[in-house]
Amino acid sequence: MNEKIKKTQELFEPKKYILDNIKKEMACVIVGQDNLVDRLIVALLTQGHILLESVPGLAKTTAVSTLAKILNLDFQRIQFTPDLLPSDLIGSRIFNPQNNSFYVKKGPIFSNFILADEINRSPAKVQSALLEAMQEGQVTIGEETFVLEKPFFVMATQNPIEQEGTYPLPEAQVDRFLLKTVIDYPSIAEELEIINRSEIGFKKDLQSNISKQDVASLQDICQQVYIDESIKKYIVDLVFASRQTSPELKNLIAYGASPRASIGLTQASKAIALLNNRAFVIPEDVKEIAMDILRHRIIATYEAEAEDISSEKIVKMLLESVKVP
Amino acid sequence: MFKKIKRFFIFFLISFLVCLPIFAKQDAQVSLEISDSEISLGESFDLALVLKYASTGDLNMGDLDISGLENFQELSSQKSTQIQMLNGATTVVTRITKKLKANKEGEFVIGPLKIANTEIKSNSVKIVIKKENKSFFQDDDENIVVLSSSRKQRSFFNKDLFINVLMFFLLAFMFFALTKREKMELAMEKIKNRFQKNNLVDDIIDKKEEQVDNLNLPNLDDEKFFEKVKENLSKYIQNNFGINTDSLTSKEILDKLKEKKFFKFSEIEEIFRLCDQARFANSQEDKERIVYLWKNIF
Repeated sequence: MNEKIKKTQELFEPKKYILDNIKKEMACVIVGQDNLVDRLIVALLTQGHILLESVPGLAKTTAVSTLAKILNLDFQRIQFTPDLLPSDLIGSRIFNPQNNSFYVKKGPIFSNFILADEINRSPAKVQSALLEAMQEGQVTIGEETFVLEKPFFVMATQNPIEQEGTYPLPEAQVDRFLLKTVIDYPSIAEELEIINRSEIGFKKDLQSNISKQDVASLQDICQQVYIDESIKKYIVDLVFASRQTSPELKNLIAYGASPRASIGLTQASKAIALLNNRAFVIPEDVKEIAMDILRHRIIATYEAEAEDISSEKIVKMLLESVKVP
Repeated sequence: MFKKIKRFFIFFLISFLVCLPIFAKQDAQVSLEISDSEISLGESFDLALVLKYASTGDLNMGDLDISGLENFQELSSQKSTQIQMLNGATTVVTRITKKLKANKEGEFVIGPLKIANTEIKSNSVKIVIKKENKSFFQDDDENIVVLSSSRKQRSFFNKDLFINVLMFFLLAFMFFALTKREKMELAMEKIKNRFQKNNLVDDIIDKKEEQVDNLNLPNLDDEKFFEKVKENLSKYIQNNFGINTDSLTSKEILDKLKEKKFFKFSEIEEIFRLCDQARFANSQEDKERIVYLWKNIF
């Protein structure tokens, strides 16, 4: 192992307990859903944002609010409704008659953790209000620009059913989310455990002493995780395969993944490696997270939709067609 | 004029109606058919009497007279009738099939068949009855005598005996060849079982040449030693287990191998781990260890 990797590993060892603690405390509230918990941690480590999609009742909101509580960070939940305005989100300038001047009333976006619940229930103008905040980490109100406090983490949820009266997220908005995670139903054993816990009451007092500094240090370590050139090439091959498609995929993909996908896949692979207690990335890490990175960035054609081929299927086909180093 | 035409038309119509049954009526035809013209004494044969006549005719079927049947014994008789209607004329075809057996050998003529009170008669058929063909093992008294006498007279290279001996050796050879083949297959199965477990590596014997290429261990001084080791090992797995390793990670390959219960699984797992660490973590892994594991597998 080279010196850089050894150093990163040494830095990570004393901080490893933080990740263990997060998982342990999450397991006290959320039954099963290991994949969801892992993806939330990946988003946290990479300073990315996450879009959670599932049918109602699968603990999306509970998971996100629990993570905020565990990390002792400021948390704001915004319920997106059709009549929500951008100013309700980012804030506005209010006239003060005493001074004959305007002052800025900051909105709920000025927080570490933002839970945008049912984000597709609000019109595009409100969804777009999140764009600057998510990408630049800053908000402009009037003529004044405010830098958001780090860590800044947006977790949005959306419901794939009940599409009437909803506003599907535009491609530019979706691309801002590092991950799109689809949550599946719990297993039989997990569902039995959920019933048992509901009888005795879910644990509400979370014991955690994780600070902002701890989170920031983990994010730094994640940046230092070593990724070999051959793995980077594999990531680029995957993303390029979605653009310069093979004849069999040509009619299925309307738009391929953006360079943001390559960056996201690199960062997320590092986080996965760290979650697996490794300071270097292997192809398994890339494959593990590729679906969550690419599924919302590949736009399927009408032909594909007509043949019931989803973007998930296309990503699977891509993963099966690109040679692993 | 009109009356003349009318009268001519009525005359023509009556003439047509009267003449039609007369012209439609056909004479009766009879024929004899025989299933075999030459048979052995004791064998039976079929004699068919075919009568074709118009239904309007007064043909008495009971008055059939066949000459030459006195030398034959009637075993059974079967009658079938087919009625055909064509252009208003009805034709009846009656077929009487008699199963006969000759009483003695010789050349006989059956027929002609005559119908009483008419001049209708059929063709005649000729049949040759040969001497009875006895089988080799038939325990007929007469035959036993012939056999015993022939035994006394035959030479050492009697033709029938020679053919029988030849047949015996041919059958013996076929039996021996089949037994030998079964033994060889069993031996091959045993050899295969030494190299494989749980019905795996069926293709090893067929793909020897490919294996030789894949089993080459790269030079230890090669810069891409670890990459080539993994590549060769992956190709080996691809060729022998039908796993497409190109788009699979080490873990996925190992998972699929696990399903197939490959007996050198732990060695392959360690080689993959060492190669991945060397390649993706830039670490200096022990090449000698890989060589040792490699030899252990193959």
